[in-house]
Amino acid sequence: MPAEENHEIGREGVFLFKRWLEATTYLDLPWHVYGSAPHCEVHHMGGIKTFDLAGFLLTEGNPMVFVECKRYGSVGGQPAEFQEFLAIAYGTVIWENSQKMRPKNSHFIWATTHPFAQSNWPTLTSAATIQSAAENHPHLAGDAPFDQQIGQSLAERIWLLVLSEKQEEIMLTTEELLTVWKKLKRKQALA
Amino acid sequence: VRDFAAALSAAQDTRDPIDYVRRVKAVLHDEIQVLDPNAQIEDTNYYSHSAIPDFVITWRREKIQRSVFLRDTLENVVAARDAEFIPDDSPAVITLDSGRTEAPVVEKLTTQMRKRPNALVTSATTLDVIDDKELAEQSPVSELVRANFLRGAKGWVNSDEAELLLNGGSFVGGRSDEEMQAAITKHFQSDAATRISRAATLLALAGRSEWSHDSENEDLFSGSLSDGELRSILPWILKEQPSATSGFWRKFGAMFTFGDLEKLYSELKGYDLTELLEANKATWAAKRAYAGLFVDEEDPADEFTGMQGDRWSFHGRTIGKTLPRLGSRVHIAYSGTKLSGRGASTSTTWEVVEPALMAYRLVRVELKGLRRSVTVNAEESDDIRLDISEIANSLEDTYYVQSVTVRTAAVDEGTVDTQIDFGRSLAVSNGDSSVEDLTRAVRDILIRDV
Repeated sequence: MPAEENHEIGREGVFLFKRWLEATTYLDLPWHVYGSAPHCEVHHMGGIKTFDLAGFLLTEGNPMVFVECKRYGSVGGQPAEFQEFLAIAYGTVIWENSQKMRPKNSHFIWATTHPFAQSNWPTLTSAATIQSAAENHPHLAGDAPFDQQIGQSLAERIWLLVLSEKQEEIMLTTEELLTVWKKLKRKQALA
Repeated sequence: VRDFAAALSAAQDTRDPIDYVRRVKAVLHDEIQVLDPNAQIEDTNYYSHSAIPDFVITWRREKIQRSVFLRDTLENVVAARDAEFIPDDSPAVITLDSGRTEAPVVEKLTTQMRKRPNALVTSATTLDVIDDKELAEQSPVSELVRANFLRGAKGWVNSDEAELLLNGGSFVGGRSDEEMQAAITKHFQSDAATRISRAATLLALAGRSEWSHDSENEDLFSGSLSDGELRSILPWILKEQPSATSGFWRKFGAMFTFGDLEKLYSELKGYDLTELLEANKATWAAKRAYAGLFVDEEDPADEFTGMQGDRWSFHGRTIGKTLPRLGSRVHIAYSGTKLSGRGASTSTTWEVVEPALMAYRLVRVELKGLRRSVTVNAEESDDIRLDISEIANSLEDTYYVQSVTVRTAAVDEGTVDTQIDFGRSLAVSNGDSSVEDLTRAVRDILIRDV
């Protein structure tokens, strides 16, 4: 599987997504493929995938989150790439189970500047779509029968977000974030 | 010694992301504290966030603060346009790499930083250079560069520029290092730049063998030195520039008070302060003086033991002038609370004291007899000396002089009255006497070398 380094979408694009997601105050994404690739890696049933961004979702338990960034001006290859993304997310859980690891319950975000597969949009993150993706990509998801329970649970941890670059104009500015972050108390000391 | 680089490299050697953050931040926290022991460092628990700093540094009793943002590489700082998005209050960005990069990246960074003129962008490697104590101890300027770096540096400072800033401080003598001055102005916010440049100029002026009209009129002499500046600059000049001229000492001495000097008792222990004091004794104010005994062997650690000339130095926490020929030492104090004087009472007669007072304007004399005490005030007497002589010579009682009060010019304007207490060997002024007048009064009247 080619690492994200080979899938150059531009560093500036990755940092735009990082600023946008972090400005929500719910995400802390210290790792990115251009400087800390090992921390952006996940194991799946076919090897290792390096995401563009990685960090923590600042909700209960601070689960890890991995972000695939797509700064596209058109649909591009997203429908097929998204299927792979879902298969990898599923394959990650299967791999963790195969290693007898405690479930990490990581979240996976597909962040794009251009929507795709609009006719299926409402169901793109459903358990059924994950199942279809996993079954079509056994080299990523493994060839065991699809686990519905894992599929249901994972569906809740898959995010499909669309960013309009114009949104940068209405994001909280650094100064605004600095006035609220302490009051929000999103982040506790690392355990 | 590259302990910081080694510690950082070891901290980064883990694949556990939480462990990585904890270890890297601990190393950076320690490094910041070493570079600036006065910094109070708050950890935000965020790491490399686009808007929330990793640390917020504040300084006791000061309103300023500096946010510190940790980043992996300089290239990524540029790609993320951090210099545009970090807050506007002179933040510091520290990259964990060497900060070395290609010219186009530097060009982009320079453009981005125009929007944040007081921001600092630097690297771990640069901190390692700044942290080099040997370099920093070369001169007070290097020390100031080091001490002010985290608090006041600005712009993009790589390790080469850091070395220039520190090495530039090693120059001595009359050579003005324009390159270093330019680097200081470029890389320090105005307050810190002023302090550092001023120290550099002062050191250069101290090294001049002749004192010119131009030196006399240097603008920097109109300012005053902070305790910290004085603490780093003065001992260095005393040690390294023994040929500093009296013209330099006079202008330099005008930048602080005798009280400021008194605070440096530990730093200036054992130094000969004669030239500094002689150049400033007429203008420095003090309030109390005490006549003590000078015993040559009293401090074997004193390198000047055995010297015959009069000289100024610290003895314990007080500054004084040692008069070996008279076996005495005049201790001078800036404030009215130092120098308590001697408890035991001694007495002297008017006959003995009077000749010493010929040069002084007498304000009051207290006489103590066996049966009664008499105070004569100049305001109530046409000829105070004659009145006192008559009382002192009276056969009704035996009078001793308790104290005399003399009037001299005050340091700034007007006059000041100084009471010389024979019993306590103490002279106390009711205003700002000059160090010179107080010393002379004690020597003339209490020690009586006339």
